[in-house]
Formats: sequence, C-alpha cells, structure tokens
Amino acid sequence: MLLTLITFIPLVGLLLIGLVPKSNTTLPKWIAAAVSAVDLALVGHLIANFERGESAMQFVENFTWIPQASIFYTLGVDGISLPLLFISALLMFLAVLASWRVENKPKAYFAMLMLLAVGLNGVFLALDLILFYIFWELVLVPMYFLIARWGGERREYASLKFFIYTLAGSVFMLVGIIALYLLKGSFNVIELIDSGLPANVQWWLFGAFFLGFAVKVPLFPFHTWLPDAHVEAPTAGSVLLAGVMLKMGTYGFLRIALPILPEGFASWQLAIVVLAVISIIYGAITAFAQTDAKKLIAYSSVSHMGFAMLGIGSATIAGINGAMAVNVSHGFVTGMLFLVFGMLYDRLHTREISKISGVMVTMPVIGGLFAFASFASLGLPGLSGFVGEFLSLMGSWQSAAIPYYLTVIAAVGVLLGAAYMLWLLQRSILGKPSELVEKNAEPLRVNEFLSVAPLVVLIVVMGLYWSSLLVFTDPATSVLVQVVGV
Amino acid sequence: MLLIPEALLVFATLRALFSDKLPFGDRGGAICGALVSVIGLVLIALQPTGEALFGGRLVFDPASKLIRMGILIAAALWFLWLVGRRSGRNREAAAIGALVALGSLLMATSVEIITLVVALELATLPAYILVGYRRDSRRALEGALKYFLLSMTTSLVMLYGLSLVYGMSGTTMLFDITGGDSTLAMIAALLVFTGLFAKLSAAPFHFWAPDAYEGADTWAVGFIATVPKMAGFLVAIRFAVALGNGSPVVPMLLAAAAVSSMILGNLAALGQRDVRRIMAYSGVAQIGYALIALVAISEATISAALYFIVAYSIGTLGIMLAFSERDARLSLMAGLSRRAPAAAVAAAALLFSLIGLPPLAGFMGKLYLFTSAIDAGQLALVLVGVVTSIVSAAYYLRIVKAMFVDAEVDTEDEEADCVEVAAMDGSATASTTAVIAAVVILSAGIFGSAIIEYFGFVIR
Repeated sequence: MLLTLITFIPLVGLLLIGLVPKSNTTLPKWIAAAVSAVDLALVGHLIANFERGESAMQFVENFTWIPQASIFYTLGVDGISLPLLFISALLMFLAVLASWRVENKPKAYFAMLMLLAVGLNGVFLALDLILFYIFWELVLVPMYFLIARWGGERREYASLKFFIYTLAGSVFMLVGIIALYLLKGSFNVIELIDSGLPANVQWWLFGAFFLGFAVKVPLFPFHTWLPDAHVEAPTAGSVLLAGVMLKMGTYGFLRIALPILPEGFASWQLAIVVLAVISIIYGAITAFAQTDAKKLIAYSSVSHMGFAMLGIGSATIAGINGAMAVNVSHGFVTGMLFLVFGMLYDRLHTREISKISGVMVTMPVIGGLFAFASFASLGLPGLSGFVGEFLSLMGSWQSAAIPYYLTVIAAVGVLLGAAYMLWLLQRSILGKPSELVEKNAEPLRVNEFLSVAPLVVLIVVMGLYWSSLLVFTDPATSVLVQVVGV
Repeated sequence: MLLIPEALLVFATLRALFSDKLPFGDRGGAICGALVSVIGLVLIALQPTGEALFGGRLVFDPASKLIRMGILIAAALWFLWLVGRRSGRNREAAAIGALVALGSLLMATSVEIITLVVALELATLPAYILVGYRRDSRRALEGALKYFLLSMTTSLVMLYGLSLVYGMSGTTMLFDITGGDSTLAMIAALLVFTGLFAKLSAAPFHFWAPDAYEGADTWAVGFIATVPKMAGFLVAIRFAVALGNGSPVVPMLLAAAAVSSMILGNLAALGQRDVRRIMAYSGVAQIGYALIALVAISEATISAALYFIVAYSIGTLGIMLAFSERDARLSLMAGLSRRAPAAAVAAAALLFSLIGLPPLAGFMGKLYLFTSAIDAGQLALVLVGVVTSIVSAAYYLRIVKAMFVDAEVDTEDEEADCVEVAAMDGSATASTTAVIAAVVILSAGIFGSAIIEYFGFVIR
C-alpha cells in the first residue's frame, strides 16, 4: 500500500483544500505543506526500506482494473524510478514552501500543486502503460492552470503552447501503446520487456514513443515550448517543470522505449545521440544570447537534458548511470536556480539581466546561493552537476555505436555551460548594485531559506559521494544495458 | 413493461402542457420530467435485453439499452436544469423536451423503416421549436427556420433512399434488408447516408448546424444537439450493418464522412468566438471520430463507438448547461470561475474529457475506439483522429481559458450587448447539473470496466 499512499496522499490534500472556506487564505498552504511533507517522509521511508542490490521491481502492487481490456493497476519501484520519485516529492515540498506568499487565489493554487503531485508521483511508479499514460496526461492539467492563471505576461500563449506540444507528443505515444497491446496482448511494462517484435515494427513503435518522450525531455527540435513555459510559469511551476517534468521524458526512455523495444532503439540510437549533441550545443549557445534570466536558465536546461539523452543514447552502464545522475542533479540544481531567481524576482519584479547587478552587495545571502547554484550547474567537480556530465560523456566515449567526434563536440558543451553561467553571474550578481537592486534589497526570509537549504546539502553530498546515488541505480541500469545489448 | 419509460414520457408531456392548472405551476412540467426520466432510467436498467415487441419492430438489445439509458441521463440532467430556469415560460419547454426524449427512445429501439421514420420525426420536429424558443429574437427565429428547412430536406432525401431500399429488398424490416453491390443499392445507400449524416451533423453535410445553433439559447442547443444524436448514431450503426453488407460503397462513404468531419470540424472550430458555434463544430469532429468505428464494423468497434457517443453527449450537454448563464460569446464567458466556481470547474472537467484526457470517459471512449479500429485495420483513420484531437485541444482550451483566466469584460460600453445579456436565461440549478454531469463522466471513465461488463460489450 505504500506506493499507493505516496501517489494519492496529495489527492487527500486536494480534497481537504477544497473544503476550506474561501475566506481562509492561510489554511490551504499549511495543508499543502503538511501533505507534501508527509509524502516526502513516506518516500524517505521507502528509500530506507529499499533493497539496494536488487534489480527487480520492489513494493509491487497489482490489482485488476479493467479486466476486459487487461488494464491493471500496477505500481512498483526500482533503482531507476526511486531517485526520480525522491526529487518529485522533495521539489513538491520545496515548491510549496517557496509559494508561501502567493496571494492570488491561494486555494486554487495549492489545489493545483496537489493535483500535480499525484500525476508526477504516479508517472514514476506506474507499471501499466495505460496507468502510466493517465498520470502522464494528468500532469498537463494542473500545469496548464498554473501557467495560465499565475504566470507572467505572455502566460496565455505559453500555457496553450505547452499544452498542445506535450499533448501532440503524447497522443502518438498512446498510439504506440495501443499498437503494443494489440501485438503483444499486454500493457504491463515488465512483461513487455524485450518484446521480440520484428525489427521494422519496433522501429515504428520506437518512433511513436520517441515523439512522446522527446517533446517532454525536450530534445532539439522539440524544445520550443520549454523556454516559453519556463519563463511564464510562476516560480513553483518553473521548479517543477524543470526539476521533475522534464525527467518524465528521460524516464520514459529508460522505463519503456529502451527495454521494450531494444531493436527499435538500435536503429534510432544514432539519431538520438546526434539530437542530444545538438541539444547540448544549441541550448548552450542560445543561452548566451538571452537577456531574460529565466529564459537563460530554461535554455541551460535544454543543454543539460541533452547530456542525459547522450548518456541514454550510449546504452552503456556508465552512460545510463550518468543520465540518472544528470536527472537528479538537474532536479536539484535547476530547481534551486529557479527558486533563488524567484526570490530575486519577488523583490525586483524584473527578469531582465541588464537591470539586475550587484546582488552580492545588497543581498549577499541570495547572491551567494545564486552563485552556488550556478557553480553546481556549470559542473564544478565536488558538486552534483559534475557527476552526471562526466559519466554521460564517459559512457558515450565507451559506446561503440557513437563516433568519437560526437563525444568531443558534446564535451565542448561543458565548456560553453561554464561560460554562460559565469557570464550571468558576472553581470547580475557581481558589480555595482543597480538602482533597482539597491532600492528593493530585502534579506532572506525563513520560508525562502527552508526552501533551498536541503538542496544545498544534497548538491554537496551528491557531488562528493557519487555512490549515494549510484548504489540505487546501478543494479537496475546493469540489467537494462543487458536487455538493450547494443 | 418494456415501454413504460416511453409511456411515462407521454405522461410528462401532457402533465407539462397543463402545468398552470396543476401544483408547482410553471415549473411542474420540468419537475415531473426529471422524475420520470430518473424512474425510466432505473426501469431500463432493470430490463432484460434480447427481447422484441410488435413482431420485431422494436428490439431491446444491449446497444439500445445503453443508448436509452444515455438519453434518459441526459434528459434528467436537462429537466433538472429547467427546474431552476429563471425567465419563466418553462412548461412548453418541458413538454417539447419530453417529446424529443420520447422520439429518441423509440428511435433507439426501432428496426423497421416506417416506425423508425416516425420516431425520427418525433425526435427532430419538436426540436425546432426549442431552437426558436425566444420568440422575440430574430436570430432565434432564423435559426429555427434553418433547422426546420434542413430537417425536412434531409428527411425527404432519406425517405427517398429508404423507398429505394424497400423497392430493392421488398421488406421494411432492417434486419432483412440486403445491401449488395447493384447500382440501385449504391444510390439508395448514398441517399440514406446523406440524410443520416446531415442529421448527425457529419461533414460534408454539417454546414447548417453552427448557424442554427448560434441563433438558439445555449440550453436548448445542448439538448437538441445531444439527445437525438445518441439515438441517431445507433440508427446509423444499424444502417451501416444492413446496407454495408457486401457493398463496396458504404465503407467508402463512411470513411469519407469520418475523415472530412474530423478535419473540417476541428479546423473550423478553431476560428469561432461563440461557444455554441465551437460546440457545433466540436460535434462535427466528435461524430467523425465515432464514424471511424462504422468503417470497420466489428463487435468491438461498435461497443467502443456507443460508449464514446454517450460520453460525448452527456459531456456536451453538461458544458452547454453550465454556460447557459449568459450569452454564449466567449468574451462574455470571462470570469465564470468567479461567478459560478462549481459550474466552471465541472465544465472544465467535461472539456478535458472531450479533449480526451484520462481518466475521464472521453479518454476511455477514444482509447477503446482507437484500439478496436486499429485492430480492425484502420490505422490511417485513427492517425487522422489522433492528429486532429491535438488540434481540438486548442479550441477547447480557449473556453477553459475564458472561464478561468480572462478578466470579466465591462459590458457597459456595448449597450446593444447589454440588452441581449439581460435577456439571457440563467438557472439556479445550472451548477448542480454541470457537477452531476462531470461526476457521471469521471466515474464512467474510472469504472469503465463495470459498464462494459454490464452491457456485455466486447472490448479489444
């Protein structure tokens, strides 16, 4: 029952928030904080009881749901889903804390966050393709409302674009799911592993899943929804979008597309790697050109997720572990970047880099946190960002299917990443305080401190002790690599 | 026993006509209609399937059972809405609604051509009074006239086709009709399906629907666009089976209608600024999805299509009733989430169901529909359906956006509009109705398996 609890406790929160009278504007956030804290504690309990050397699914729950169509309610967790479930629960809790001062319709706002939590947790736990699809699409609705109602100026455009793009990808995934079912008679992710379908069928099916997942990751050229959505979303929305939702895409590759369709993957491998490398370089170069800080962080996400896709594309143990590390680290780091920038935005009400300078002078703590997150983002050894990029590049170098020059080009991306992040720091955090920064300086608040402190600790721990993550992922990735067997 | 729900509706019609002399006054008819619909719903649920009446002219199979229950759920919701309608003169609406529901119920069971035509006219003729229910509005009268003329014309086309069918096979019993590939059979099929497509507002015979709907009140459109449609779709299934047998033309006709409905309906809806027009085109699109099932007929596709059409109809009715508060222009929908939060949330859920988001019934319907159609070898049609559903998200979301995001407009500077807004009907029960519809759609999605089991459907 543990996994069901983790998934659906936020739904209880949603109902409780629904019962709060409209006049009471403080209770919803307390309910949301309590519920997401409980959820996080349950995930902690799960991690503590998780059998680390085991590669199979654990805590499996299996109930018949629609027997006539062999649709089951199946949940389970393994080394690939557990870290992602953890960032989902953690970032949800932190996002609630970071939203403490939301005054525009707090009831609806926190209700949407709770609904989002159900979808995000569920995606990483579902082992039935239909159930997976339900959670996958469930995420769209609250995120649409979060952007459309609490977003920035161009929120209408951004929310619609976000919805249509991701829906477009996922309906093709649905066709893929239906086709898999008709061919193999099952929706169960585990039963379908190494489906043994003919290579040309696998090629088509992989294409269908690829569209669904690549939009979410997002892989160049399917990334154009991301900068708009990230920029216009409220802080909590950006944190969850970048920190958790993008991982749904990479998770989909690791959980569904690769193990079920290994031969399809083999013929798509080079395309994935090439697109990953383009994403790395393109994201980084585009980040240079941004004048909007949130947009810069958004493009840096495209670049970082490119590393995750490179690791997945390599189909080596190091590469896939690297992809997992990028996923987790990007969740921490980009989550933190958006949180800290959200603090600045609350004070300054601008996202223009040119108007922000000298934050370090007037708000040293916020400036310091921003600098810390930037260093983690650019891959400073000793912080979490380094682990994933290093392992992904290593895996890509090891893989026989990937030409060496592609790995070399990808490695240039690390350099570019350092350059645009440092340049951002130099322009906005250092220097003489601009008038805007001078006037609106305000020290760090308690809820703000609480919302980033855990991330600081985790970024350092993960950067120093890689094994704290790899001990979970390694057994599952080894099996995955065997199945894919490229 | 089998026809008690129909008899109750006849009673409700008469009760409504004499409302002013009876207790509860003007609202009495609606109250009686709602009660009768619920009782009828329970009775139909208890009825066994597989029986026939009047020498096999009326059959009570699982398909007609589902459609009849769908019709009565929709009718019950609509009467419930009518109970709270504020602007008075409700008794005629209740009487007409009961007649439409009665005709639709009969249409769902009749398998003999003459009975069928009578039932069809009973379901569609009173509807045109509902379109023109606001006697003082030019646009309503224009809409009513359009609806009436088109309804008559298509009936005539269909009747001509049916006369050819009779001449060909010498019987009026649907199950004995032979399709075949003779020229005569093709012409007959063409005429019959032209009529049916027009009645179902499937492209390319859909053009009348947006214009007719735009003139009418939202609540009236919601009823006439959904209740007869459920029954009409079942009739289309029966004809597709009867005439499609051995005919090369019928599947082609159906495929052409499905593709053009999906594409035209979805694209045309994008440009609309009036919820009634959007929903009219959305109806065209949704019929297009459902018609995929008729191209490749199997037990599974038909089961899926029936589930789908009922989910669509109840969802659409709920949306229309939620929006009945004001004029249906998108700009006036702004801020509905503030004025009527429950109705807005329910309508949003129903709109998401129409987009096809899980776990709502609209998603389950599409899932079953597409699965069974791919299984029957119609991948190309399904892909058209999938791509056009992405397009549909854009216009459904515009309605959601209008309700939740847009600020309320100041209507004062548009004085002409003001008069019109004031004339619009609201209902004290609009929120309740929409919420019930949303709950039905949500539970029909989650407990889909129970429904499938109950009706003995085949899902593949």
